[in-house]
Amino acid sequence: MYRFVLRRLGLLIPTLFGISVLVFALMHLVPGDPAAMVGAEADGAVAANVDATAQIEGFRRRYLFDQPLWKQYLHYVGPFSLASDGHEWFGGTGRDPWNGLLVLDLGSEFLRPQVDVGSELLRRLAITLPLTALAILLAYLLSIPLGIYSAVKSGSVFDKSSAAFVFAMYALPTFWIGLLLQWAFGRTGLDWLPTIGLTSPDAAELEGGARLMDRAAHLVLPVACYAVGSLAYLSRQMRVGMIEVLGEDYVRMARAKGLSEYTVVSKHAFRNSLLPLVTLFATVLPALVGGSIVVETVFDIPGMGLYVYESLLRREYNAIMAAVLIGSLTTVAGLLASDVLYAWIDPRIRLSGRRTDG
Amino acid sequence: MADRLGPRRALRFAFVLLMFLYGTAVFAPLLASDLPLTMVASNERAFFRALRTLPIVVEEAEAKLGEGGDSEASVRAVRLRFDELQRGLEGERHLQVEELRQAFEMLVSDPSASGSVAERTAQLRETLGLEGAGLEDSKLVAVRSYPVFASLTPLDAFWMASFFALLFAPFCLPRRAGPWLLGSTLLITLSVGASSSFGRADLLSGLKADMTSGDVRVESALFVPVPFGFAETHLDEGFLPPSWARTEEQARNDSIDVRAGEPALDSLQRHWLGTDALGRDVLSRLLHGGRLSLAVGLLAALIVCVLGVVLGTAAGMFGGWVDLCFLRLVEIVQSFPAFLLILAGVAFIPSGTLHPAITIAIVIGVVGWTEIARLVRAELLRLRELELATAARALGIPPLRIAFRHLLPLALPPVLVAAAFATSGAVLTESAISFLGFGIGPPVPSWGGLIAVERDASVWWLQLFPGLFVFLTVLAFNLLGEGLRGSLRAGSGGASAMGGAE
Amino acid sequence: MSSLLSVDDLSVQLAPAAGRSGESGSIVESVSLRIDRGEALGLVGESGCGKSTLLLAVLDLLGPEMLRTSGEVLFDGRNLTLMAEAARRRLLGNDIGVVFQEPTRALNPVFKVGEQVAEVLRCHKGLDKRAAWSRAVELLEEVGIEQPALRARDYPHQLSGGMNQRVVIAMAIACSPALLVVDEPTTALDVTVQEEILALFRRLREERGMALLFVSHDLALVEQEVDRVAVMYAGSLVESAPTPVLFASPRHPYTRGLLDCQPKFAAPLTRLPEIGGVVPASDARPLGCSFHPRCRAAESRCSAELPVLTTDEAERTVACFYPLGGSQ
Repeated sequence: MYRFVLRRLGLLIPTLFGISVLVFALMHLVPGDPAAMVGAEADGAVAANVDATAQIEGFRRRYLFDQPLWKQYLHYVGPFSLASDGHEWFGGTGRDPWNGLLVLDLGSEFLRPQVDVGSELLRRLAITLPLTALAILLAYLLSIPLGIYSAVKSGSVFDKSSAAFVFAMYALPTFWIGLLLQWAFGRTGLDWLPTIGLTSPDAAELEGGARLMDRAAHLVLPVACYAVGSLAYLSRQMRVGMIEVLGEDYVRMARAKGLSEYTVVSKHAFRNSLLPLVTLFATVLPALVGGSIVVETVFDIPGMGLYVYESLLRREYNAIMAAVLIGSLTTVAGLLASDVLYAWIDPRIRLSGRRTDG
Repeated sequence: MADRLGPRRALRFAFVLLMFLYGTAVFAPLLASDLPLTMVASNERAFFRALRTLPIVVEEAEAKLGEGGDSEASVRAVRLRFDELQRGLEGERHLQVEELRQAFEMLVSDPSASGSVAERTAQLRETLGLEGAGLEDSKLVAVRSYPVFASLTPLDAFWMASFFALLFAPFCLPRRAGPWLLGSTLLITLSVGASSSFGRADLLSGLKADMTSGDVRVESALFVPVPFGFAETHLDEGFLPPSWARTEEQARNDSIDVRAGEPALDSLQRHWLGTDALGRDVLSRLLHGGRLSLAVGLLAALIVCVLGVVLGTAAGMFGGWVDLCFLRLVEIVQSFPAFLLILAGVAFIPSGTLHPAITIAIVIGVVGWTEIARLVRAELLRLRELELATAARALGIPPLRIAFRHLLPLALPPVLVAAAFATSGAVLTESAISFLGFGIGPPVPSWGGLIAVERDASVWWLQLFPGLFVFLTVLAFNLLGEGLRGSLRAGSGGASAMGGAE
Repeated sequence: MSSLLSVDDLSVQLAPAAGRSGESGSIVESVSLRIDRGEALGLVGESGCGKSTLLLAVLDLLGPEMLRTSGEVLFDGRNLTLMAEAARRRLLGNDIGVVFQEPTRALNPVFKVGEQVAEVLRCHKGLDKRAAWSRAVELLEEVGIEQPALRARDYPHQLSGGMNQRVVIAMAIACSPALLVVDEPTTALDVTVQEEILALFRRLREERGMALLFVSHDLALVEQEVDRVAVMYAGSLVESAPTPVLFASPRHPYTRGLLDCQPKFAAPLTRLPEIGGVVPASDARPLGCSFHPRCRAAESRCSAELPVLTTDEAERTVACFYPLGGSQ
């Protein structure tokens, strides 16, 4: 078991390397010169309508765009800084010798150089995480029983209608769901819930309990919106998996042993049907961390998703690279976690070796 | 879901839905346009413009002909104006112009011939009415024209033709004529034809304005069902609710001018689905937007399939280090957050290079091929071990030929299923991209973009209907995928229904 | 009524489902059987003749694709078909033990084998965890598994097919049932292991006096193990007789054909005889006697009328108009 985990961790290294190269390549090989676009804006040259060449050159120098690609990559990965104020070994002043991925430095924003991308991401994560965690929890909690019940009562009215319902849900665009929810429950509809942002405008005046309630109320619609998509997918997977398991020989054997239907389903079938769901776990981590650009845009929630959206608008290369990097890292980590979890749960993988005496 | 409905019913349902959606998209110019289908009219403005500029161009042409220089363009200009004049006249007047024209033609063929055409042109002008008495008492001849059809590009026509082909093909062709080959060919045709919607710049001809103002005098005209162009603005009619949801007062706002061919202010036909901020008809924009959204979906799916099939086949057939590289590549590509990558790709590729719709399709394709590639690889790995592959190898057939000619047709069924779902995914992605503002920009409409413009809940019709259409499209493709999956599994069992493999 | 199990006119059809049109033929057509206490009955037939389906139908373990359309099953005088769910479940595992064909697949991969045997005991005998576990270990020893205490903690994938089959047998006999029903118990196992499993059955029967319903496609195999044989073809019973009688002088042409097909070591090496043709699919059965297209002795009557089972003096039943070795 440990060897398995170690081996997987070992394989991780070339994958991580590949990802960092790809992320870097994506940003630096995309057509269009970041320096020209961003440099001029950043230094207010556009506003002043002044010839921006000098500013652009300065920008280029500062962010090493005038260096060969491999040097830029090394600077990106680190841990040594190749910038002019970087490590002495590379011709720098030694003031700021360390930087790069290996020291967990994701650079700073172009338009607001004092803002460190890494810490900004953390701030945004704190906002996104409760939303996504709740949504994913809700999705799993609802879809598992739904899927099981549909499978057990396969062919019944409940099964058919829930299958149709879930199928339709699967086809709904997320942003549309968000908008519809806003109409239905917002001021133009039932007016039960707030539709925008995380807190009401007068939140500062509320006290502890009321403030919590206010916060919670603001989360309801975004969480629901986010959960709908996964709910449809998960319950369908659960149902399909369960039906497959219910057709297995050992389920028939369990019935032949005279066990009650309840025991057959909840003890014998359930554990086996969860196994495929574990592999889906790989998508949970990136979803948790990344959040949804669409949901946060619709509901105006200043989390990771919205940050990515803003960065795209403002051409913040560092921020976008960081977001993509984090997305891939969490996916890889999620895959690893789900593989490990699967191996741990399924005895067929955890323990191998067969005894061959008849 | 298909095992609730039964795969055949799911397929039929999907087919009907898709034909409706694609039909309205393909024929959108004929369904919603500010141009009439056909009209009998005389274009006064054009006539008088021709008349006014005729002497000038004639002089210019004469001068050029006299010099012996390049007079091609000038002569053509003169001829155009003569055409315009003759079009609007009949009888005696027509003959007058004809005489003048012949004189001009003689001059063209023999520049040395004397006689100033320009002088006679001035006389003609007087006769026809620009200076003093003339045409006021006799009208210009009204001519039948087909504006909408004239505005179609060849690709538009091609797309419409292939739509009919797709619709009627199953009935016309023999059963076993390689249905898969046929289907895929038609699909490719549709995708290529769909790009016709990409090339069109925004068309806003002045024809309707001319018709309304009387510069084009209309005797009869037949307009399309939705007589509003997708870029045609009615600034006084901004944010009008759908006709069937309008209040009395909104319906009777007299300050709005009703243009030629448009239904009355209080009629139900005026703006079935309301208008947007600039008074553009939502239904028209929806229909035209469908062209783009649906086309992007198909194109993206096509790219995904081609990339996936090629790479998957390579990995499956050749194995060894090709396969290893493939697996590593797939792993890395799949670990990237797809939507984010697509957004970034679309955001950063400068808009000049390609039409944004094609850019979106390519980016979606490049990010999403892994699923199908893995599918194809798995199928090929399985099929490679079958006897037919071994037999082919024994006969000395090169591996690539085995792969593409013999094995791939057998591997197609799950690929088709995946392709259907890829299309629905692409449509969803495109609408989300456009919604966020990174996709196809105004004034060219696309479903997601339509929703993005105004997010206020009081203008519900701007968000409800485009979203509904996206939903229906995705639903249709999902049903198609499910139906294909069910019927392919039940029916062929892999090999038998194929026309391709021997 | 001394018979332990009595099946009367049992039929099974494919359940109607979406997308399936029209009538489909029966998988099992009007089959009747009887097993007395302590008796062993062999149910033989080619693949696809419906014998496994019959078994499942008797125990009411049919999947959703199939439906029992007629017939009655009486166990120890009680009507299984009319019984309440709970009562029927009390019988299964307790008074009737079942052994299926693929041993490793019949065991739940995520539970230890000892746990799966103990489960039966806890369910029916009300034993607590500890008592059930130790009894399970004893049972494993009884079925011939070495080091049972250690093996009980293993998972099914860690044991060989033969050992898993023994586990399944242990599960089946745990509550000392009166009837043991086995479906091709050795088909998935090696030949050497086969003999051991069969010997196990013989021993258990002797020690416990269990009745046995042995379903198999292998006629020769069955000859050693059972007292009476019933032959099925295309969903119906064609002949049944005490084993020595059946093997010595079969009356149905199909049985004759089956016996002729068996390779015999003593006979000179010639080409193996075969029964020409194939078993008809359940929705494509010929009219009249299902076997008549392949029967050498078929007459015109055979394609028109369906022969019924008739019993003769030697306690055997045959469904044929022109049985071998005797008049109709």
